[in-house]
Amino acid sequence: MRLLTHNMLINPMQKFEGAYPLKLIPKKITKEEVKYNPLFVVHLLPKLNYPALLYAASTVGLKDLPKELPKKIDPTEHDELLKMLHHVLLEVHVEEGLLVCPKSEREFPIKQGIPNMRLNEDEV
Amino acid sequence: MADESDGESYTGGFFSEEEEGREAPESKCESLRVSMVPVVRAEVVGGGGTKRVEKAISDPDISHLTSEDYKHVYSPSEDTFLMLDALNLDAEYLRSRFALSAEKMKNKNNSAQDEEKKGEGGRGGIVVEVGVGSGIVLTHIARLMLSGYFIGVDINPKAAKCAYSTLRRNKINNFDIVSCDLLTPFLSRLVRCIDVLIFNPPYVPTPSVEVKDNGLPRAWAGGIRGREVLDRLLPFVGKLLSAKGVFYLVTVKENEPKQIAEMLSKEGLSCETITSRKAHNEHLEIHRFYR
Repeated sequence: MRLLTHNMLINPMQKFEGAYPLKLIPKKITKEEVKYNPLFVVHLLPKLNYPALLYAASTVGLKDLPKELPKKIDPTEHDELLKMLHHVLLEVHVEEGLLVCPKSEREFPIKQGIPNMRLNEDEV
Repeated sequence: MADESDGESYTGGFFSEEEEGREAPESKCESLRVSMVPVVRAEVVGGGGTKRVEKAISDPDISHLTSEDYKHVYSPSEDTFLMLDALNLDAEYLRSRFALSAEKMKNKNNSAQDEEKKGEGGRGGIVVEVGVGSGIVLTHIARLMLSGYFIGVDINPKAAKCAYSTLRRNKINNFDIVSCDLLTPFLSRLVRCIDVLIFNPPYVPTPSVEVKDNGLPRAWAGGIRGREVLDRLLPFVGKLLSAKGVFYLVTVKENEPKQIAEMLSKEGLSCETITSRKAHNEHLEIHRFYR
C-alpha cells in the first residue's frame, strides 16, 4: 500500500465515516523507484489531505516534508519539493502492517502490499 | 452454437455451466484474440464500423495465471477483451484528455529540451478499476496512459492477489490494489478525484441470492436485471468523477443500458457507446460516460 492510497482510505463502516485518517502501523516497508512525473504530482496536490500525508510519512520515518504546502506550486520553482512528495506518495510501499480506525480501533490488515478493507457480515 | 458471422469459433472454457437460461460468460481461447500480437495498423471493429488503429498495443501478459487461479478468479473472457478493445479504440481520446502536449507548455524562458522533459509522460490521472479481477484491464490502461496512479479494488481477496501479480509482471509500479466492497473505503475522499473509472460488473441476470455468493459466481451474478451490484455504485459515479472524468462500463442488453444512461445524464454525464459485440446470447456493449 502506497501512502497516496492511505491518504484516500477511510473506515468503510458508514457510522465511522468521519474517522480519518486511519492510523498506520507499518511492519514491513519497501522502497521502489517510480518514474517521476512532476505534472502528475501537481495534479494530485489539490486532492491530498496534507496533514494526513504528514502523519503517514512520519510513521514510515520520513520527516523532511514541510509543515505546509506553498499556496501556489510551480513545477520549476518547487522541483525539490515535488520530488519529495513524489517519493513519499508513490515510492514507499507498506508491504505488511495495520490500518486502524481512530474511532472504533477496528484493525484492517495490510498483507503482501494489499490492505484488506472487507467488512464482516455483522459489520455491514 | 458460435456466431459464425464474426469469423471466429469458441472452444468453450472453464465456465460453460448452463442453468435455466443463465449462462456463465464463455471463456475464449487466447489464440483467437485479434490483438494478442503487436501489429501496426490493426483493424478493430468500432462503434459505427471498422476503424483503423495506428498501432495496436498487445494485451497484457497473464501467462502467470493458472487454472488453479481461475477456480477463484474470473478468467478474462469475451467481456474482458471487449473492454480492452474499447480502451484501444479510445486511446487517443484518453491521451489528449489527460496529458498535456509539449506545445501547450511552451514558455519562452525554457529550452525545447526542458519542455520535452516536463511534458514527458504527460499529466496522467487517477484511474480506478472496480472489480479488478485478474488485473488485465487495469494493467492495459496503465500501459496505454503510462503516467498516473492506478487503483484496483476487488472484494475477492484471491482476485486482489492475482491483480497485484499481473500488474507486477507487466512492470507497472504506479498502482495499488485494495480488497474491499466496491469503493466503500474511498467514497468520501475520492469525490471529484477519479479521472478514469472502469467497471465490468457482475452483469448476468440471476436470482438475487447469488449476488452474495462467496465464490466465483460473485464475479458474474448480477441479480435482478443483472443490475444489483452496478446499482450500488451508480449513485456515486457523478460525485466521484473529476471535471474531466470518464467512466467505462460493460453492459448487456438485459441491464437496460439506456436507463443507465438516463440516470447518469442527470449527473451531467453524456454517453458514447465505444464498441459492442454479440456473442452467443449476450449483446455486450462498452460505454464511455463523460462530462
